[in-house]
Amino acid sequence: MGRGPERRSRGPTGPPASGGGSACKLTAIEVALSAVLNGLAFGGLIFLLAAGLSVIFGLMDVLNLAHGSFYMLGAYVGLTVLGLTNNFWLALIAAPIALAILGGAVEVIFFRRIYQRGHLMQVLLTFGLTLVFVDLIRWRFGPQTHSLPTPPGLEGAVHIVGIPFASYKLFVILFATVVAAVLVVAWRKSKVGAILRAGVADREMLGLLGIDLSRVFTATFAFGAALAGLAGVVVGPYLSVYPGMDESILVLVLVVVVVGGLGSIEGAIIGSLLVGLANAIGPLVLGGFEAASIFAVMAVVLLVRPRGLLGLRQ
Amino acid sequence: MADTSEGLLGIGLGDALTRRQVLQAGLTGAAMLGLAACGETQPAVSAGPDFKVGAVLPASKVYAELGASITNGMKLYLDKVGNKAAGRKIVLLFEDEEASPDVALAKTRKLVEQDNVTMIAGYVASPDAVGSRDYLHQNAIPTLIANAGANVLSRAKKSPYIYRTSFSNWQPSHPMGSYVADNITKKVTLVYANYAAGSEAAASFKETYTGQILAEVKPPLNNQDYSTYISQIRASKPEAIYFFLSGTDADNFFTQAKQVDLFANIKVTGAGFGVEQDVTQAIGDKSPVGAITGLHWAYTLDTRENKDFTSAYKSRYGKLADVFAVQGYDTARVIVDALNAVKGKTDDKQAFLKAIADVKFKSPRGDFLFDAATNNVINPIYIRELIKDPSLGYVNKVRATVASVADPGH
Repeated sequence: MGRGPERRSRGPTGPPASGGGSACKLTAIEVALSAVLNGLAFGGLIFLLAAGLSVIFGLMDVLNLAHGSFYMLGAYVGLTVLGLTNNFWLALIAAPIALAILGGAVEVIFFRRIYQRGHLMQVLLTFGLTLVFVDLIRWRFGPQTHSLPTPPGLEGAVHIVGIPFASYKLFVILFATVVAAVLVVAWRKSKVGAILRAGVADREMLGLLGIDLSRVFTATFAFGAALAGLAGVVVGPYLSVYPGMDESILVLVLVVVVVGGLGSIEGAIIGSLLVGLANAIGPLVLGGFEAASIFAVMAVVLLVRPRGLLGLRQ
Repeated sequence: MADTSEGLLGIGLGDALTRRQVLQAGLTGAAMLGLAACGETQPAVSAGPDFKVGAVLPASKVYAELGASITNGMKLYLDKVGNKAAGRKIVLLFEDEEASPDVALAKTRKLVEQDNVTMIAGYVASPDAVGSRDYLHQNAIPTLIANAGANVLSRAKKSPYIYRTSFSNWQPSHPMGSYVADNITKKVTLVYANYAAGSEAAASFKETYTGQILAEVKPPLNNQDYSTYISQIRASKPEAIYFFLSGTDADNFFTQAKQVDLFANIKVTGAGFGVEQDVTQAIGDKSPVGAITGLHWAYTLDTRENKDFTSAYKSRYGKLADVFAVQGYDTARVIVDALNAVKGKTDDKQAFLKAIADVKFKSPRGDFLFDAATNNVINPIYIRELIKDPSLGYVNKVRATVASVADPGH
C-alpha cells in the first residue's frame, strides 16, 4: 500500500454528491414499475398476517398482539423442519399445522378467561405472551439471525418487461392471491363464513341462535395462528428470521387492520395492498421520510372513513 | 476446559504481561480446572474486595446478538486471567440495555446506585451510550464503551471518565474513501441506513473519496423490504456501492439483492460490520463474496494474538468469533490491565483513570492503545475481502492495512 499512518489526516474532500436524480427517464419508469411489483409481493405477505388478525379482532373483540409471535414461531418451525428435511414445501405445510395447534391451545388456556375483561387486560396478556415467546425462542435458538434457503427453482430473477424481479417474490404474489381467493370464497359462500360474518356483526345474537361460540372462537383463533405461521415460513427466504422479528412487522399489520376495517377479509386484502404499495413507493416519493408513508395512508383513511375502508363496525 | 489451557498458553506467550500476572493466571487457572467455567466458586485467595463492573449490554431486541458476542469476549478474557487482577476478584454484573436510551440509563443508574459498581462497561447502541453519557460524566464513573460508535462521544461529548474500546463511526470508513477511489472505481452509489451511524460513515467516506457519487440511497434503520432501494441503486448505474448496513438490515439487503442478481456488474464495498460473521452465518450463500470492506479486525488476521483468540473462542463457544467479540475481549483486558497497573487500588480515581488511559497491549486486532486527545481507541483499519474459505466458510481476508487510524476529535 505504501500509505503512511492516517493519524487525523483529513483526505481531500470528495466532490459534492451529484444527487440521486441522475437516472434517465426510462429507468425512472422501470424503478416505479418495480416498486409496484415489489409492493404487491410485500402486500401479499402482510395479507397472510392481517387476515387472521382482522377476523380475530372483529369476531372476538380481542386485540391479539401475540399474533406477531405466531408469525415468528412459524418461521422457527419452518427453520427446524428445513434443518431436518431440507424441504421448503414440507416446512410450508408443517408450520401452519403446528401453529394451529398452538393457537388453539393458547385460546383455550388464556384467551377464554379474558373475553369479558376490557381491552387493557387483553393487551397486557397478549403483550406478556409476546415477551414469553420471544424469550423461549432466544433460549432455544439463541439470539442469532437465520434465513431460510430460497426453495429450488425460485432462486433467481425473472424479467418482467425488462425489470429483474425475484422469482420467489412472484411466487409470494401468486401464493397470497390464491390464499386470498380461497378465503374470500369461503367468507362469502360457505356456512362457516356466514357464521363468522354473523359473529362479527353481533356475537350475542349468534350465540342465541344456538351456535357454540367458544368452538367458533377456538377454531377462528387456530386458523388465524395457522395463517400467521404460514406467513412466517413464506417470509423466511427474503427477510431474516430472529427473535423479535415480529415487532417490526406487527405495526404494519395493525395498520392494515385499521385501514381495511375490522373483521373483513376483503378489507384486509385492500389494506395489505395499500400498505405494501406505500411501503415500496414511499422511498421514491418521500425519500428520507418513507416510514411516514404508511401512516399517512392510515391517517387519510381514518379521516375519511373511521371504521376502515370495508369495516363492518367501528 | 480447553479454554483454560488455551488461556494459559496465551498468557505464557503474552509479551506485555508482568510476571505477577502470569503467576496469578497460572495459579487461578490451575485452580479453575476443576471448577465451573463461570468461576463463581473461586477459592478465597483475594487480597482486596471484589471489583464490580456493571456491564450494560443488550440481551434482547435487535442488538441481542451483538450483546452476546461482546459478553462472550469479555468472559473469555476474564476466565483466561482467572477472573482476577491484582488480587481482586472481578465480578461482572449484567444488565440488559435492550435498544432504548431510557432503559440503558435506568440500568446504568441501578448498577451505580444499588449495586455500587466501580466501573461501567458496555453500550452497543449509540443512542444508549449518548443517553447515559451525562450521568456517567457527572458522577465520574470510569466507563468503557464496548461498541457504540457515535462520533460525538469522542468529540463534543467526550469525557475524562469515558474511554471507548471499539471504534468511532468515522474510523472504518475514512480510509475506505481513498482506497475505493484509487483501487476500485470512481463511480459509487452510497447505500446506508438512515440514522446517525450510517450518515456518519457516509460522511467519513466522502472526506477521502475523490470519485463521483452517483446517488445516495438511504433506507431507514430496521427496514424489511429493500426492493425499491435495490432498483434505485440499479437505476443510478454505479460501478460499485459503498454500504453501511449491519445486522438484520444487511441480512435483508444482501438476500434480496442476490435474488435479483444486483451484484452481477456492481462491486460491493462498505464498512465491515455488514459482512461480519453474524450476517454471513445468517445468509450463507447469499453473502456478497468479493465485498471489499474496512474494519478494525478480520477473522483471518495472521497474528499470534488473533489465532489464540479465535481458536479459544471457537473451542469455548463452538462458533467463529466476530469483531464484537474482539471488542468485548479487549474491553475486559483494559479492565484487568488497569487494575494491575494500580495494584488493585481504585480509591484514587484519577490514578485509575490514568492507568486506563495508559493501557497498551497486542490485541487480536493489532496494537491497542487509547488516543489521549479523544479517549477513543486508535485502530488499525484493515481493508478486507469477503471470501469463501473451504473450512471456515465466509470470512474476510486482509488485502491492505492502514495503521493507526485515530478519530480527528472534532
